[in-house]
Amino acid sequence: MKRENAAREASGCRHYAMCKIDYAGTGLCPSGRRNLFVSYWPQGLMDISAGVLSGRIPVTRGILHAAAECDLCGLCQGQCNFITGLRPLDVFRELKSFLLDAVPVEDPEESPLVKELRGIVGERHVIDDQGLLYAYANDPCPVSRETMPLCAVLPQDADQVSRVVRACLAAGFPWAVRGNGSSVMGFVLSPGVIVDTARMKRLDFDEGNRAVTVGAGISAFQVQKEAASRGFRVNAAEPAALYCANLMCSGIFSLFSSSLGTGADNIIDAKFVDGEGRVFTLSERGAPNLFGFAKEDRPPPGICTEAVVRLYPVEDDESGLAVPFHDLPSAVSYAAALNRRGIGLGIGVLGVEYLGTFTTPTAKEAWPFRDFLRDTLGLEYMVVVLGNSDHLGAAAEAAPFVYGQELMSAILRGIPGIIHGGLEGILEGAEGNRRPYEILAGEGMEHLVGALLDASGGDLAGCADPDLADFYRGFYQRNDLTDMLFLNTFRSVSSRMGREGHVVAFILYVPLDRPSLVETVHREFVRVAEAHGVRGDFGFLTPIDHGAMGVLEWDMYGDHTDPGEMQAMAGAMGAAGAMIEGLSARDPRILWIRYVFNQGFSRKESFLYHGAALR
Amino acid sequence: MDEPVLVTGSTGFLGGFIAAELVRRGVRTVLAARPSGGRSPGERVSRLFRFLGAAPETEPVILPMDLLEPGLGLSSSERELLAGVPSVIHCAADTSFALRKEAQVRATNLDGLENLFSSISGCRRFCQMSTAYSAGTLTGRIMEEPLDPPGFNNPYEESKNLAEKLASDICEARGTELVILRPSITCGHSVTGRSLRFNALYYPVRTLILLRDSMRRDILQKGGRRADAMGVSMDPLGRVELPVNLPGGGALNLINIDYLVEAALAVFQSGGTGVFHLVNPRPSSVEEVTDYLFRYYGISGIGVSGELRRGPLQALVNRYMEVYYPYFQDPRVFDCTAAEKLLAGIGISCPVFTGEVFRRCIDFALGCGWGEDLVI
Repeated sequence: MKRENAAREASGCRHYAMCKIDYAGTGLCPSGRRNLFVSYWPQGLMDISAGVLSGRIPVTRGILHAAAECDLCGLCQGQCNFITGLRPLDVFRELKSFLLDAVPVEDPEESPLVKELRGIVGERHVIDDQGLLYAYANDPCPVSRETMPLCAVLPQDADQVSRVVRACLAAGFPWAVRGNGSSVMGFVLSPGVIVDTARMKRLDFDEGNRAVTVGAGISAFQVQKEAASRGFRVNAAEPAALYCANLMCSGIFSLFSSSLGTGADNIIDAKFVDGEGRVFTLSERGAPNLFGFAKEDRPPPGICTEAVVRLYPVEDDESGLAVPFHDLPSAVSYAAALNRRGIGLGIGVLGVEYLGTFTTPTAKEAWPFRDFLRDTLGLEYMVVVLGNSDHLGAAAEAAPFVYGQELMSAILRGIPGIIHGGLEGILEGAEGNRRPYEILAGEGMEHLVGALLDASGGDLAGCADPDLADFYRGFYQRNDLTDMLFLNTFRSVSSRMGREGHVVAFILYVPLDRPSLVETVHREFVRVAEAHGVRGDFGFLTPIDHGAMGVLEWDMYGDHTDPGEMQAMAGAMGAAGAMIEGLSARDPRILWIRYVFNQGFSRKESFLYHGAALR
Repeated sequence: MDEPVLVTGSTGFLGGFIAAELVRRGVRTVLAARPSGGRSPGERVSRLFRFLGAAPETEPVILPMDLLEPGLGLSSSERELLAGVPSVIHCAADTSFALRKEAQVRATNLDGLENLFSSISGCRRFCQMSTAYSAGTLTGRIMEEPLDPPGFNNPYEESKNLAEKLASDICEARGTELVILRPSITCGHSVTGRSLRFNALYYPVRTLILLRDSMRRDILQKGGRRADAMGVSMDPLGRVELPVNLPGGGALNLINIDYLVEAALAVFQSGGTGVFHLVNPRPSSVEEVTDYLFRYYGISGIGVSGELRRGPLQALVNRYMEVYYPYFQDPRVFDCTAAEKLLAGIGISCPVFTGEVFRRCIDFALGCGWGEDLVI
């Protein structure tokens, strides 16, 4: 890979951090595991490579160390490519070649605060090398500005966090907490101290109390995987996101929020370090009340160092089904009705955008597959229902048409055949008064579809670059990426949305009593995106609280390395914000998640129905 | 015929074969077509003529016409040329049966027709290519006259019925001679099997052949789990038994494109006006077609009955083929007195649609991947 290509490739990293969890079961970057700082993980080394290879940052001693620590084992290549389409190994080869004769700049003088912090957390758990810190200085958000921190520290527990906070206060430096360097929304950049939670790895299961204690350095994937191995699940969101950080930011919502709720619903207790460095737990007498909600921008209540959250047993007969729709109000009505009647462990209305992005092996199949769904099948939305056999039986009975797990597997395994027209011939002539997606539904269709598409995982792996086909094949063989329950439990492929360009996600709570309102919200987003020349689409909606409300995500996509696109995106973000405020003024039940930000421990009742609070 | 004839839809199925025959006969033609797949209308017409083996005696004039564009998408000089054309054979149509595409079908078949009329002020003789099924759900003997059926089986039928009325109204107001041709289900050439479209009869056959192939592959290569689940088996000769019933009680009125072209041009050039049914006086029963499938394509087990079976295979076949069931169950007779009277005098009659003709048509379709390998 040529230097300029390597720099461009490295700039493409969107910090989704899938290189830091072993979602593929192939092991993790040895350098990242040894050194812990994000600068040593593929994600951070991509940022550093982008800076060094483009000449934006000088070579430092830390950069030479990070590059030397990378032994080009290649573990990251498949892990990253499967999700993002990027090829980090090629970048790192070029970086190491570039650094062969490089002479590092002089080390800066150690600041007194850095010296003090080293005393608190240990010498090797503080970095102040400006090259290494470049991995903490950026994120792909269009409105964020590069901000070089003084240093990054890795405290081990609440006590060390407390001492770090007090030291910062005393020295007059700000701090920001960053879950192992993963930042995509520009909120955790600081010129002071970055508190990286990567060392806080506590993960203690208390099955008798159906509870698990999760340290601030544990990812959603890790806790879910460990829970699953014990026959449980937790309500978890993006797999690479750190679980406590997710709780803190906005509360956790997933398809399982239909039954497991959000906000404080799953929280038993949590430990914090507040802005003065005091340690408190939620359950102690006199602790701040984090369960209420105020519709205002609030600072974080502190640094959550660990949380105790609920475990839910997994039943043997759980599975999933999908119900196709051509219009949003019908899909929302169906999803809300199920939730109202207590049917389903997880429910989500997914748009074609997600369906195409998540399920196709590489980006080049995503658009043809979306075209197949939209144009050939005539569907725009699918309601995915997860549950036990009783749930699924009831959901199927209430559905106009059902794609069972076997049919979905046949379709998803057959994507390469589909995009080569494997089903078009048989569908296009069959269309009369029924929509094509209706024709595909029904008993026995999975056999025909499977036979027609000659389904096999090998075909999916064949879509990858030839040198990565074995990785893809192995992953497909180890995990059933056509299993709706697996896909939604571990969410291994949802970060693929980053493959489409950086994502700005607008998340709203919306009432579901009038499904046409959801359509109005969607149309308004479409209008804003089109007016600013930004690509965007409906993401998902999950009904919560007995179908009364829904959490809706609408996404905008752009190339974060293209200043023109990011300028358009920034304009679209501003206009979308104004649009949401306008909608919210007309119907105050519409709540933008920016107001829940930093209030993730609120009871969902407090923010969903904030209009009913005592004044 | 010295005066030029405009053929719309000249790279489509009916229009293409008619255009090729006209140029073969040395008739001056103006051929209207749209670009497609990066190919210009001219390139498409050339490809069509090569495909049909038509060596033009006179070079056709090609018009890059789009019925849905204002001014048909033509330049002022092209519109001037169009305005002077005295004879028009209007074959362009959207033939989709899909309710989802109703607006598109109506736009092409009705708005497009109106657009066309607004640009052919010099037209003295207009031929509207309609369909025998513009009769919709009308029962009894279907006469060669304007029809007001109580309903339609799909948006295509309705749009063609309305197009007949629209053409009649406009032609009457303008004093333009009008010929309405109503062909029945049109298949490929009776000798070569060549066709440009593979819907109507082809689609149900294609579905059954796809089922045969996929089940055979499943049995031979995958252990037959799927075939078992569908109740499908294969005999030692490789014939695949698909235990389903198709609805009977009627007959498929099948004609070949070569008959249609010959008859249509004869009617058009005769100077006669009115409605003409170009249909087969001896329709094919569904039983005959299933027999052809067994004889030529190794598909057995298909019954014909008023009562359909139960089970996943039958449900699957129903879903894929039910849009064609009204045509399988059609007991109606299409009166063709006017057409026969005109055509018998010049020795043109509709040949019997035999098993051999069926095989030629399907073999051709299979040979070109049901049209996928045909690039016009």
